[in-house]
Amino acid sequence: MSGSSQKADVTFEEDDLPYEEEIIRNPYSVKCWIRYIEYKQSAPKHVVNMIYERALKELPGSYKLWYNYLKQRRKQVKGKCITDPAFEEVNNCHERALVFMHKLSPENAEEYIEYLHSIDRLDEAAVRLAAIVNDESFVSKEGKSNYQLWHELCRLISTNPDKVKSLNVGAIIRGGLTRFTDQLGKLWCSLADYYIRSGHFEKARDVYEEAIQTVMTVRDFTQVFDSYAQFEESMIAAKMETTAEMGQAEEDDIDLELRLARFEQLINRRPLLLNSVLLRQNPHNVHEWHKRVKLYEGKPREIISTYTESVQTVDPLKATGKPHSLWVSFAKFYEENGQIQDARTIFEKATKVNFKHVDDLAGVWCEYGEMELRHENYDEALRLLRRATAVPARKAEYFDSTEPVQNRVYKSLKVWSMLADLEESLGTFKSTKAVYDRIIDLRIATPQIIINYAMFLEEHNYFEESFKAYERGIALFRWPNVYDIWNTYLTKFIDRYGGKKLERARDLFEQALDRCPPKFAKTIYLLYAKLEEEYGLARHAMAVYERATKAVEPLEQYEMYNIYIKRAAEIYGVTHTRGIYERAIEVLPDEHARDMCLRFSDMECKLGEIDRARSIYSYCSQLCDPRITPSFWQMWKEFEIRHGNEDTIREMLRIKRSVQATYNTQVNFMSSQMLKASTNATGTVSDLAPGQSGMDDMKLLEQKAQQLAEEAEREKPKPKDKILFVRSDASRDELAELTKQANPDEIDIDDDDDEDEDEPDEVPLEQKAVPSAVFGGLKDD
Amino acid sequence: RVQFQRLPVPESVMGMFKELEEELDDSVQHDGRIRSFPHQRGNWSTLVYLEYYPEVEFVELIDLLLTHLQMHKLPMARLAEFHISLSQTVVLRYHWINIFVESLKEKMTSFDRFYCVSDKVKIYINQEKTRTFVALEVSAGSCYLQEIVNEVDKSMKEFDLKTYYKKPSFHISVAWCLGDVTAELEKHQQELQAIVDRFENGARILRMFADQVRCKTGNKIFSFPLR
Repeated sequence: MSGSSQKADVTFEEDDLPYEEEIIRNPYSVKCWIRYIEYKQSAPKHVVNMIYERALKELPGSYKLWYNYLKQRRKQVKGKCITDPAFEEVNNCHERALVFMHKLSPENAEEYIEYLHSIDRLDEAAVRLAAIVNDESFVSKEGKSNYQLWHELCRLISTNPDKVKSLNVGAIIRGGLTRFTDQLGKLWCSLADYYIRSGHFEKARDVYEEAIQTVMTVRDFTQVFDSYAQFEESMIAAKMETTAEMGQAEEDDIDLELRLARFEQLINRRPLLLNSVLLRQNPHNVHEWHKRVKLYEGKPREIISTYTESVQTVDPLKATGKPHSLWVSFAKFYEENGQIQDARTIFEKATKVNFKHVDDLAGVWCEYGEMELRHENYDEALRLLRRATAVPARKAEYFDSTEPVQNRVYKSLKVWSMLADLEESLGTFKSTKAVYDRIIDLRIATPQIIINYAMFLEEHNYFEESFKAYERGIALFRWPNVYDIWNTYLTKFIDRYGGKKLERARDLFEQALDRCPPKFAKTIYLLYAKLEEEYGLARHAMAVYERATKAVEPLEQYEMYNIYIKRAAEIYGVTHTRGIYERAIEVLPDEHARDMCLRFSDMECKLGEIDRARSIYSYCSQLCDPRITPSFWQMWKEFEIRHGNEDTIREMLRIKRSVQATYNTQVNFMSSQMLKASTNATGTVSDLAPGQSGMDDMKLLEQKAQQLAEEAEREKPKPKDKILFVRSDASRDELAELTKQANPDEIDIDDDDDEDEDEPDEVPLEQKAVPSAVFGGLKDD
Repeated sequence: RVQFQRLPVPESVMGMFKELEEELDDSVQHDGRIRSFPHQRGNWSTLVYLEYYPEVEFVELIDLLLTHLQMHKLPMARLAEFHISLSQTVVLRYHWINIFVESLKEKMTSFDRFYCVSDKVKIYINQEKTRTFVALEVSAGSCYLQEIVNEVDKSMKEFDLKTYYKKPSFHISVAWCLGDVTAELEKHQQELQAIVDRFENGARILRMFADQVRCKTGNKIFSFPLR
């Protein structure tokens, strides 16, 4: 034990005894020794040192002891002259420490490494760090992940290339590259950095190049590329600085040129390099392949080789994007270069690819055909599409994904449609007809195809055939798809035959209307009515209109009634429209009913039937809130002024007030109740439904409002139910009842403002209902 | 348009899908015969004709002719079936067949049955000049045949297909061989004719009763009876 203190007397104090005893008992307990040492802090240094030495004799592997001891000893020589022999002793201590530290247990390795770092023995620190990094069973005391340790190691060795000599830096970092695949960017940069710092610029460049051509993510690429670019830039900057300082020579010029050119080229390569990264990531990314071709614009050989690589790499079943677009673009490239035959070769190969979707293969055939058409090889195009639609040796169903698309494309509507077009332009009538028949037989027709077929037949004057085509279409499709077919069929049928096949036409219409949903009914009914009007019987036409008013969508009813009325007036005269008006008024919503009433009464007026007109006004008044529809009341007033007298005017006003009252009552009742409810928020728990006490104000209010609404709904007068149009005696009573509510206030010619009326007394008014006799036989129309 | 230098299609692309290429027609499998047009899916080879049902003696007669030729070192093979062609061999698309057949049927119903006699020995060669035939040309009844051909041509035109020869020489082919041996055969034509003329019951055997017209498309045969 060299280097121990001078032979001082080792005297134990009285107080040392407990510690000494403990040590005797536990000589291998670091804690005990530390406690003792702490206790002896204030003692002279040789005493403390002695204890340390004794401790270290028992525990030579304790890092803690060594660390503290060495710290202590360093402190002891602080401030002394460097040539002081004490320093020699301290150094010896350190040396000894190192000897023992070699046999460290792994747990203390990190601390040791830190220590080595602090005494600038980086090489050894690196070696030790490498050891623990490679040790799979190592668990960091500081909770560092294996990667973090790696990273530290990489950082250590790359920033101190001159000091770390024992390790194969390249090997270590490359090892990291295989282990830490999500940190490739940083690791590559570290490796390059190492070479840069050790002045091996070409090696660094090689590393960068290798990196950008192997990384698989955009993130890694960006890290490496940016670092690379920065490196080149700094090389340029450095060169420029040195030439500025040391004067420019010719070689310097060239060198600078070279560096600049290199840098520029690197930047120019970026898009292509990035594209390569994306393709490495997903070689089946069609979009990226197209981008790559674009990047090679103007370089035909590269374009060809890219296309070649793409069609051989992309697996159609794994592709993102449409793989057949690569083949098509490839062919187009040759086409645009004037090499049609080569384009054909490409297309032929393309037709054999096992695409995932039948539609892709169909697309290839169609593009192939389009190309031939572009170059006016019409027969070729026709032949191609005929080939495409040929039944394969092994027929498969269109949707059977277990079969290759080549066996399914014969059922692709895309190719058949194109063939139909080509046959129509380039083939014969029969050959075109054959195509359409086949499309229908294959059960791939659409309503549009049917219509095209029928039009085609019609153009060639095969009218009966065209109608047969429509019939086939109708058999194939249901509503609503069949609408267009029916519409076209019926129109054309009438155009052709007019009234010559009336019964057949009628049958067709009935067939069409049988399951026709309201949405599509209008057009067909109108066609039907027109047929009857022009070629059939007027009363049939009327019946059709009548049916139509019931069959169309509610929104279309108004229009339909209008048409009906107009036609009835034209055919039979206005008096026959009465029944229609009545029905319309009954059925239509208020807004339209009002309009109908006005026109109805206007009509009656023109016929001189003032009383009838008046009763219509009277009926309509139920629908007209004076505040909302003052125009109605205005019109009635004008009517009365023109055709009425004081009594009738009085009557009108009475009715007006009563109507006003009903509207008022409704609204005011509801609003007053609501007001009451909002002010009595708290005290009306009893108002609540049972079992809901303790609710907040809002809920109370809501409930109240709901109750009111329900009550109001029940009480709301339903004029339509109550007041029928002079059909029965009951109406007269009801009308009388209503007038009882009228205000008995002074009679005013002018309009009354709305007031909150009280319940009126019974007033014996003479109410004259329009006698039914006036309407003659129209009642039942 | 600026024309670039021709850029070849890469070998690797040319080599793709070789195994799926259409099988080359092996002549060996067809007695050395070659196709006049390549086989393609969806294409149905079609012929309109009158079938002739040979009696035993007819076959004997043919054999006599063949033996004679054999002796003169002109071996030929007897045909298995006999017919008079009423159309060229055309290609129908699969979905044309029904329409075509219907159209033919309709036309054929307006013809009556008839007789024709084919007893003139004549040598024929096919269009590609790959096969030579010995046949019996029709000597009586060709006017009826011509009428039928006219109608068949109409059906052909509906699909833009080849019509029959302008001045057809109706015949029943009876024997064939590969290659063009017209010249040699013609040397023996008179001898063969003599054999035919001398044959017992020749008149009866060589008279054909036409009661239906046939159409063979692919492997399907359609018959159209005459009135």
